Amino acid sequence: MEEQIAELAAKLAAVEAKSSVTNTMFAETFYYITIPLMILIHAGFLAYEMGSSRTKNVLTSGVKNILAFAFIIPTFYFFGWWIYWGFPTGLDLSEGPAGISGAAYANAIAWGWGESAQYMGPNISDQASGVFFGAFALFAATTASIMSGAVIERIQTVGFVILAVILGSFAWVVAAAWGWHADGWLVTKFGVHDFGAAGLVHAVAGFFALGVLINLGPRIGKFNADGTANHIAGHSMPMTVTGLMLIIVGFWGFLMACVIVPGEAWSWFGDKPSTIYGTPITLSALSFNILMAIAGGIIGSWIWTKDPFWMMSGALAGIISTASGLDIYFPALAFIIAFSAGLILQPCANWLERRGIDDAVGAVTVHGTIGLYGVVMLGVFATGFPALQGAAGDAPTITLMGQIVGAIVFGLLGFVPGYVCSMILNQMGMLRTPEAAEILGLDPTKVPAQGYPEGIPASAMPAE
Amino acid sequence: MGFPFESATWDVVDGAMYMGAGSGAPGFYTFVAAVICVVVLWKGNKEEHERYAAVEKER
Repeated sequence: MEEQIAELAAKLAAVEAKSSVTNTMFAETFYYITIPLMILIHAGFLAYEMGSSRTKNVLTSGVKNILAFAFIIPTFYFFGWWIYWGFPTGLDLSEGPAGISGAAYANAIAWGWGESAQYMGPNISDQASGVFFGAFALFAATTASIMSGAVIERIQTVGFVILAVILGSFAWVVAAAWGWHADGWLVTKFGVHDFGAAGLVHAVAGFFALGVLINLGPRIGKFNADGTANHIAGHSMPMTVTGLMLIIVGFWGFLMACVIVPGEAWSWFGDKPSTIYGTPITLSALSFNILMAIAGGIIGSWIWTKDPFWMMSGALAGIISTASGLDIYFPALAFIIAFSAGLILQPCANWLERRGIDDAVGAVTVHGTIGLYGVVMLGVFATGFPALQGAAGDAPTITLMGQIVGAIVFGLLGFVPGYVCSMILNQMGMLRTPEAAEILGLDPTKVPAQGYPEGIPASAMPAE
Repeated sequence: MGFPFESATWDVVDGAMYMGAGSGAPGFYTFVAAVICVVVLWKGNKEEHERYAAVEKER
């Protein structure tokens, strides 16, 4: 009998060990897959802004977008990851109630040297740090891509890369530490809930772009002497619209990466997935709400504009407007909010344009304005829902005031560094391209290749 | 640099498994990589401004 019990115990231990290996491999694979999906966001923005550029600038737009990606990855490795773990409780870098924040914690896990280097490189006993880092690095690259489209056709390449690094490896990371971390002070003190990063990614990036645009100024020919605006069409609407669709594909990976899988030492729960706040979430919830939000955004934009550019921007706005609460919205409510975002999209962009801001792709509106709209809308509909669960003690609840505070902080975290840093770069002569280069075209000025060396042939379709 | 453990077998490895583990090498590599980024930006900016100057001169 005792032998049989011992045998059963051994078999049970073996099964548990195998189950643990399977769960760990699943968790690692789950986040690993989000990385190439999020690279699709970058591919989408690449096509989007190249299509929105005139042929004389198309490759320059591509070069700066590619460079933003290339510089954000290492700089996020060098210091961005440390900021996320060091800053949650505020500027004093103290440890928060969940015990996973502060300078000491960040020093232990997020530097590429000393003892912490073991968590910043290949490690047979750590199957989480690399994929988490990868997912966050791609969130960072997304912020820079958002800004990238707004400033095309007149920003200097290196000046832009510096701004991209400040946005992607600093500004949004502070916002994430404060509002997207179990110890974040916006979460623990104000109950801010931003599951899908409408505020801390989209609004931060959108308002950062606004700060830059103010110092950068409009493209030559955008505004007439009386202040009225001209439409400067990009060279390829199909490329732009396809790029927007790719961004939407990538956002499935982005939002998937916002889920904490169960069963690991770092998971919130052993048996159920959670948001980054430890509140309930399922991929099914995301599927319901993302799809309904995309549909609502497209329909809302179509009824107002009939323009495929704004319809696909509406799809993006639909996701962004509901991103804060994709975990808890009812699908039809997500549709309604997304529809309203689609409706207000172009009027908001026109309002900005009338104030002399030349946002070439509408990024400030789609990501900035709609991002903040989404954060506040969650406060309208989800007041009283627990914003956090688990180790942090008393659970704060979502409130309208808390979401408004979050929206203001996210807006400022984008706008202030964007405005100040672009002003400094402007004074250093590193922001705006010279007039002669802008008129000639940035590709013939500085790119040793042509986007369309044989030109774009006219349609072969006969007139009759 | 060599295998950073006493025995040349993976059996003894239960943590970091990269070249230079446990030494100052990762910090050195990180520093060099950061310097490369800064130098490339400096050089890229210099060349970019040379292009702008050439275009303005032709004008």
